[in-house]
Amino acid sequence: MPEKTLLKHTDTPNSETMDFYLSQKGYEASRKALTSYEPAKLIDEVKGSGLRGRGGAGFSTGMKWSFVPKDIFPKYLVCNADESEPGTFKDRALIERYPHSVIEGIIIACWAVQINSAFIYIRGEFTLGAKKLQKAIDEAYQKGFLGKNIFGSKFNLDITVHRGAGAYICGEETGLLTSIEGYRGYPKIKPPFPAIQGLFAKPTVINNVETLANLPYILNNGAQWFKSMGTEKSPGPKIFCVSGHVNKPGLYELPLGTPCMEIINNYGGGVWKNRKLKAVIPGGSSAPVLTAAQAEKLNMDYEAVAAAGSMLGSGGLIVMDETVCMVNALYNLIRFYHHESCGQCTPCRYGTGWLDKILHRMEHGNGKQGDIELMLNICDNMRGKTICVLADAAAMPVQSFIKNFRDEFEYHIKEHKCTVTI
Amino acid sequence: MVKLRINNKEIIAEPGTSVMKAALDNGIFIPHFCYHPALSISGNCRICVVSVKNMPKPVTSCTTAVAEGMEVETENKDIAAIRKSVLEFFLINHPIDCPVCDQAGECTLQDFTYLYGSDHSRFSEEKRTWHTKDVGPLVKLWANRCVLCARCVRFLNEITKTGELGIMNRGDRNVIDTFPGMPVDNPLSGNIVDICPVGALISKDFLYQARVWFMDFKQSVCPMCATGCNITAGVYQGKIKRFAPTKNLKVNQYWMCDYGRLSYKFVHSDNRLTAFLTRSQAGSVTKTTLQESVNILKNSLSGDTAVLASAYMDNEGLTALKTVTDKYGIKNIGCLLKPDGKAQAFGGGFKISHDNNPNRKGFENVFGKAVLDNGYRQVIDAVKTGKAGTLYVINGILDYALPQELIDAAGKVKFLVVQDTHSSALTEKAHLVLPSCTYAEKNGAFTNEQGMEQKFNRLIDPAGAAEPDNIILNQL
Repeated sequence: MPEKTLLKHTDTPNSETMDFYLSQKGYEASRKALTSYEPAKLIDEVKGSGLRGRGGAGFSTGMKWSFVPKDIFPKYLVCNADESEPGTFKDRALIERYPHSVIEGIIIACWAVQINSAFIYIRGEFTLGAKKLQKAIDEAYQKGFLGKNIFGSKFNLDITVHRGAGAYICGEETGLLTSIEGYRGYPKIKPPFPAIQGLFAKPTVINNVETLANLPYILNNGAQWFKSMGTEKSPGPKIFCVSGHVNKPGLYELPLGTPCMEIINNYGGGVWKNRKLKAVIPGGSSAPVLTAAQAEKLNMDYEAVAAAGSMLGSGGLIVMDETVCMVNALYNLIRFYHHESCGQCTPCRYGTGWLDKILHRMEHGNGKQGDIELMLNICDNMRGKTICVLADAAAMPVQSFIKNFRDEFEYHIKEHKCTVTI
Repeated sequence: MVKLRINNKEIIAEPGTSVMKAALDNGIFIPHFCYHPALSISGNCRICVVSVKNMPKPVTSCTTAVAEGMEVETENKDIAAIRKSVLEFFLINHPIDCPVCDQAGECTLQDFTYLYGSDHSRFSEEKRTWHTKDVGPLVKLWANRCVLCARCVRFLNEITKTGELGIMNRGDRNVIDTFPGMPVDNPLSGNIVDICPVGALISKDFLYQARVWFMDFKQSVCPMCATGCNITAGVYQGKIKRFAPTKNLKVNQYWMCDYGRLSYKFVHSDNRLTAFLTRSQAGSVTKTTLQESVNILKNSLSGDTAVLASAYMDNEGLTALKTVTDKYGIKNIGCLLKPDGKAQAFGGGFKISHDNNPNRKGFENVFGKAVLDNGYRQVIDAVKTGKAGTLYVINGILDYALPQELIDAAGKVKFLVVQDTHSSALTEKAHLVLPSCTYAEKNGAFTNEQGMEQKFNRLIDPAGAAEPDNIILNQL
């Protein structure tokens, strides 16, 4: 296994404490950033490293920072820790086991964009994470790494932990902002984009936990070190969340571009119970499903997964063996999106519920001729027609499941039962 | 200013205007549910899509700002398909109970489905349903019909700032509801019925009263305060069934208050005066005619007559009265005013005036400020001291009991003439009673507190023999 960076210490006892973090050159990167980097130079350094957002979209982090207007104050940074994509559980590990790396990442990012107030929006269910995070922040305040004049400089930074109330939609960056503002977590109309008008209508940087956690290492080891891993366009390490029908599900930190089958077989211990691989979802539940044949040739970097017709997303690799009924699997996913659609926009509000009802019927042996075409048409009527991309996230699994496993759906409709029996 | 083309029509709009507003302001209609010009942009209904040249896909016109050289198309095949799909989504859970829905006939969901919708539904599942619910003293909610445009929620947040309604739950379980213990009970609550594009929020007052397509709609002005809200009256079989605000950005924007909304009931009340009456010294009452009454009145008016005229009289009546008082040399003139209330201001600039009289400004214009301010006191004093032989009261104030002081004093004059719309303690004492029309039964004009003279139209036939003030006065 390649040497780990982000997850190197997450299995060490007391890894979440300040003492441990300091023993691992902790807060040296942020001190270095504040003392020897001009903000513009720091942005260039991160741009140069090629770091891309680890939350799902994969947008260049340095670029994102450079869009923020320099002359408007206050500005905000929001760390998106509302990790709720099914099949994704990487941020939780970082927050619970190594929170200081995230805090240090926030300090570096805030210095680069000259932000004095940061929020960490943490998923409501992460009770332990919120506690550990708060404890780590308190420790950082005590050491003078947060608050007024941090590291003896003239730079002030406050971090506030804001706990969500358990809505998937609040992981969508603008839904997250409305939630912090105290409103119902509805995504906002874009434009204006958060970099220009975000939290409280001020310029706002929103970065994922894993993205921020990468920053201390980039500063300590240099952009070239970071680029030595992964592919040219997708450099650096990535935490893959392997779940489903493998022998050893868990978090695996590997360079981007690692072959999918290598992750499943070498690290995940292979498909369980000596069964054959049927399908993988490479990037969390919203990403289109791929067949075993597609997975064979798949490298896990942003470009390669996109070329295969899916998304790397959050790196949540969901593995399905040959016993999985794809109708049932899709029904499971759509139930989630039906439950989590905020209901703001018409197509998503009603489309997710309609798909859920059709799939429920189909799964229970009451599928009808024309259901498949109807579902595909509903997806067409949802995709790209809403304020945020939850409608797309719900439609993509439906479209890809039907595209890749249409015969199973047809069998369900015709025979009123499953092709697979366990 | 920005120049753009919508449907090949050149349009000039202010920068920052939405395509929707620019189109509507120039007479180009784009279907919409959630957009309302007085409320913040929500962008949730997704039906207002338009095609913009060089944009990859249709965009919602309410959230797209105009830009120089923009070329917009509001109708084409792609857009129609999207609108059709949006309407299909709306109808999957909608009960389609138009036959018993009060909104039928003025329902945007009906109208747009007629224009863009399908004649059949592909939805064969069970609909999600809600019970109807009282959400306030004036408003009832049929949540099944709701399209969740959130206009009501935004109105209560932004205009009344009372925030009684919110959207509960998520996804297709979304439902408009009140917060616990917070019914929609504010002075403007009826407006959420007007802005509801569908039959979800229904006025309990108008519920099952009339089919809108059988009603006549006429323009009028609300007389219940000096704001002078412009209103559209719905009349069915000679009775006013409802008032709704008419848009007038200079006066009432898009709104009216609940008190004014229900004020049509005063026109139809049971104690309306419907006949000319004389009362003998012994107290016996005889029906008479307009001509007979005018003759009696002519003989009673003289220089020592005192006149009390209310600020509920229209400008026509006041001008006619001025001619009469000049002709007979009447100096003792006073203004009968409904006492002031509390001024209330709302978001967006809508105001309920402290002045409960529709035409105080008009009275001042005709008789002057001195008469307006001091006339009433002088008249009462003259009556009390026996200086006035005849007292001629022209009232017509709605929803108001005349002050006891006036009733007591009026008992002292030799001859009491009362011209009024409703019977009262004063008409019980009058020697001559002339029934007059309310604002709803005549054409006329009020001058509101901003000094704007606003014309109102006759909505219904007069009650019984009632005549407009100016018709009576012009014969004196």
